[in-house]
Amino acid sequence: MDKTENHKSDERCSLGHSFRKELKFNGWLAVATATYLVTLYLVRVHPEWSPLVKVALTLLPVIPGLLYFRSGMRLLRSKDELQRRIQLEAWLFAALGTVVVSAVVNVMNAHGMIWSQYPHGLEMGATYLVMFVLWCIGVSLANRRYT
Amino acid sequence: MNKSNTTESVILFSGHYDWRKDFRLSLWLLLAASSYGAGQTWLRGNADADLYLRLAVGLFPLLPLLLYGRSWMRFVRSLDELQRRMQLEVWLLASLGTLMTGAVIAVLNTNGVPLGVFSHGLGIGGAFFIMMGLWTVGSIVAIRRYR
Repeated sequence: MDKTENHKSDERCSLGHSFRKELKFNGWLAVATATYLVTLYLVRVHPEWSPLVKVALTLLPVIPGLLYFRSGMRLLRSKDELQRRIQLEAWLFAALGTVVVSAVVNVMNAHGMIWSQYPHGLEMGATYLVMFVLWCIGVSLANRRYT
Repeated sequence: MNKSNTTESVILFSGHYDWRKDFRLSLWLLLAASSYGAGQTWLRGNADADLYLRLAVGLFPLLPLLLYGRSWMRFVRSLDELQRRMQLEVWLLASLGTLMTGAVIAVLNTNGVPLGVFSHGLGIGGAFFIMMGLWTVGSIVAIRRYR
């Protein structure tokens, strides 16, 4: 086997390793999304269930969400200093921005401007979506700043 | 603010407390707290005022809070690498904890669980107090961990 083949094989190994790493990292996100969709469907189809059961079901995606966060923090700690800083700043921007959006929605609802979809503030799905959009903006801002 | 900032300079009884730095940093926070208090008192006494006026008064504390966030970010950027990382991680933990609490409250409200003052979500005051509480706990844990 010549050196080129060795190199190709190393590349394949590294790609495979990286794919496995990505899959492992995003696995909990996939589980959280699937759990969210299933519980949302169940709660909508069975409005007669007791509030306790509905609350427990709706909050179920929090568990894989927290596990996703834990694996995200582990991945973040394994990155170099600059990448870690970019990601930390982007996540902080996203989280604080979502807190502000959520507070604005709550204040608007409290004063009678009820949004038909969010009469009690942002729930799991909306929180996730707002945070994801803000994270994308945060990453591009941080990248532009540091590169 | 100069380059030699430390978090101990804004923590009471730390042995390195500098009231001037703390005052400069917390000025917007004081303004936010007083405008929130005054706004809530006014809103309670003027429930029949114009909707947009009530909204403006209810949302006003966000402005000094955002300016406080800006001065805090400046302060954090002038800290040394370790303290900066600690602060970014602690703020991320605090804001994610606040988001989680807000989402749980929204789910409870949607399912008819009576929550009194939080019937429209956390709002600005609730979000601020939970975030501050989590920041304090996170800071204590982080300082002990890295000492």
